[in-house]
Amino acid sequence: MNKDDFLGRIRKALHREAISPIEAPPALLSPLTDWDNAALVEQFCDELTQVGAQVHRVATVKEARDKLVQLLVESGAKSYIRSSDALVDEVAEAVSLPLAQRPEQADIGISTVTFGIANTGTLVLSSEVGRQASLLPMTYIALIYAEQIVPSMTEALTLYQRELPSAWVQATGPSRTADIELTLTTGVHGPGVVKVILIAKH
Amino acid sequence: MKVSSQNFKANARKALKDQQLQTALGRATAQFVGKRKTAVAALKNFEDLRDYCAVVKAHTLDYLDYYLEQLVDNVERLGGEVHFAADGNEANRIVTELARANNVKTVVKSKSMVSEEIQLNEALEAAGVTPLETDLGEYILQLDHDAPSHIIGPAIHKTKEQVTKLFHDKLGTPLDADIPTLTSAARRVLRDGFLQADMGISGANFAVAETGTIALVENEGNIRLTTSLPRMHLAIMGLEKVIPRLHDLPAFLAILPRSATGQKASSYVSLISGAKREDEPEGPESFHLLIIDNGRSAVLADPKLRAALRCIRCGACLNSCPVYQQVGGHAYGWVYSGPIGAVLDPGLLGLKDTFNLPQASSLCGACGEVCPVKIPLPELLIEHRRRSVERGLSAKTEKVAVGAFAFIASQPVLWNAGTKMGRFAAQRLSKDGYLTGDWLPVLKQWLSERDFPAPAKTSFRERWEELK
Ligand code: SF4
Repeated sequence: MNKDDFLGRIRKALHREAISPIEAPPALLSPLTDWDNAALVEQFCDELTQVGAQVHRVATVKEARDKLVQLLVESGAKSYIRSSDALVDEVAEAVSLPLAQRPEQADIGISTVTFGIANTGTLVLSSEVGRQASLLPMTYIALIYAEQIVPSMTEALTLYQRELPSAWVQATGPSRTADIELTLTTGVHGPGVVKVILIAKH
Repeated sequence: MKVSSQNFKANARKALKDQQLQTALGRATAQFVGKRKTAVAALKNFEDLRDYCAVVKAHTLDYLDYYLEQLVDNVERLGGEVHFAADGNEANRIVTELARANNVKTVVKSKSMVSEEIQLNEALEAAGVTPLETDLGEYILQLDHDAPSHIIGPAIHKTKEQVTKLFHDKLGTPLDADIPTLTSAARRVLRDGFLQADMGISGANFAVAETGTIALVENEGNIRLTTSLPRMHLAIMGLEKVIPRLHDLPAFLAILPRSATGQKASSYVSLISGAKREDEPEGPESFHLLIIDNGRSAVLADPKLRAALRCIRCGACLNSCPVYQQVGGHAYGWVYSGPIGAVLDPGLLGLKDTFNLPQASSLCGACGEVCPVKIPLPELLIEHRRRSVERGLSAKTEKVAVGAFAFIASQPVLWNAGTKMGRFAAQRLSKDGYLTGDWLPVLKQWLSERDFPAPAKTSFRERWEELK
């Protein structure tokens, strides 16, 4: 069926003409415009912990570097993949682990995020920096500055102010399923382990 | 899924005798109901959000032609291709043709109820394309040649023992494997599938008219893989999935997971706006959107039933329904079961083969209470009953009620569930200890001539159990 016939059927069902005006949609819930960042950071960390992610709070990029090396050593990972952007360049500088030959072989993925959403402990991942680092390996490490944390999804969408990337993903905790007798199991398709390095100062 | 709603009574009888099914269903629905209740109570403005979402959906449906056109324009602006199908056959033809033209040999699928509705997998197989279901529940069903029985937990009718045996036979996992072992076996097999597939087919939870964005909600990550790894992404949606604005999404994303699984947020929400951009490192090369009617425009044209198209497929009405809790999804004989199935299936398929479904309800009102988009499910069930009588599909109102009553009364479990819920409803309808409601067709006649004492809060049988 072509578009006109398809829409024609719907117009007929609604007794409307092609140029019929529409009423205004209901008023939107308005976003917050200012907030207490320190309180949001605490809320974000609480929520992250509740959904089963680990939070590592550091003061500076330099400390983030050491933390990342430590997390990689502890994990026993053999190779990793990463997103392509400035913050990962900076933080992953000291990493001696080799990059995976093929992305699906990596044990760990590292990427930056676009926002952190405080009320649900959510990481906003953008395809601008790639999709695979936060998706394919069993362990995912996210890098985020405290100032990137916003109260809710509404503020994240409002602040973005550009056309959305091809994939804007809101990730809350590890991949999980309850499809077998509603028993919660993590890591079914995406990462089963999520670690967040939260950097206080830009 | 083939329609077998005509056989509701026989299907239900079978379900009631199936011990494994009864165990699995009982556990699942009780857990869903409990988690939903806690999550909803914890959100201060849940009722406001519910009102908002109901109004937004109703508004969008009233101007659906306008919003669909806007959606199509924006998807095309982002470089996507939009296809339209009047029914299942046409939809399947479009998908198989798309696969053939792009030399697609294998397809990975994430959960899509509309694809079950049109039997897409069968059509793909007939065209020489191998479809692989990647949602764990759907994968289990595909391995076992079974059909989904719940829109959120498609395999909730299966016990762990059944899955263990199935995986042992098909994937060679040990017979004493625990659930994490089964899950990681599935991860390995399905990951290979993702890496090899030429096309990913997803559903759509919401389609944002203003931006041409498809929103997909999940916990497993298989939707992210489906929409990211293969070189083509096709999203399939029923025409009712549109919402006007990006900023409408947060409200829907707050009520959906809470109503469905009791989560504050689902593990992953993907907002997909077209294929990979030139300056992005990874993602599919092309994006297609298939919009399907398949009976929906008839429901839209029906002023009473139109509200049923607001449904966001959260499953809360299924879990709360005393009939669903006992007979499970398969008894309803089609993709959509429980109260929303009993309302939607007659709308989409016609009453002739489905008039049994709206009878299978004690009209306790629980479904209407939990629905996050405020679909008046009990009223719509009554409307279907009225129409069945009018069209001579079942005789007089009272006879229908008595027919359903006789059936329910003859099944002890249903009887117990029904009396419990019936009393609950009667309590709500009664004033000063007397039934006052006159909106129930049967009661109306009775009550015009007599006062009927409201039933006691607990039945003799329940009190007897407590006393024993
Ligand atoms: S009818 Fe309402 S409660 Fe039932 S699945 Fe749809 S949205 Fe959920």
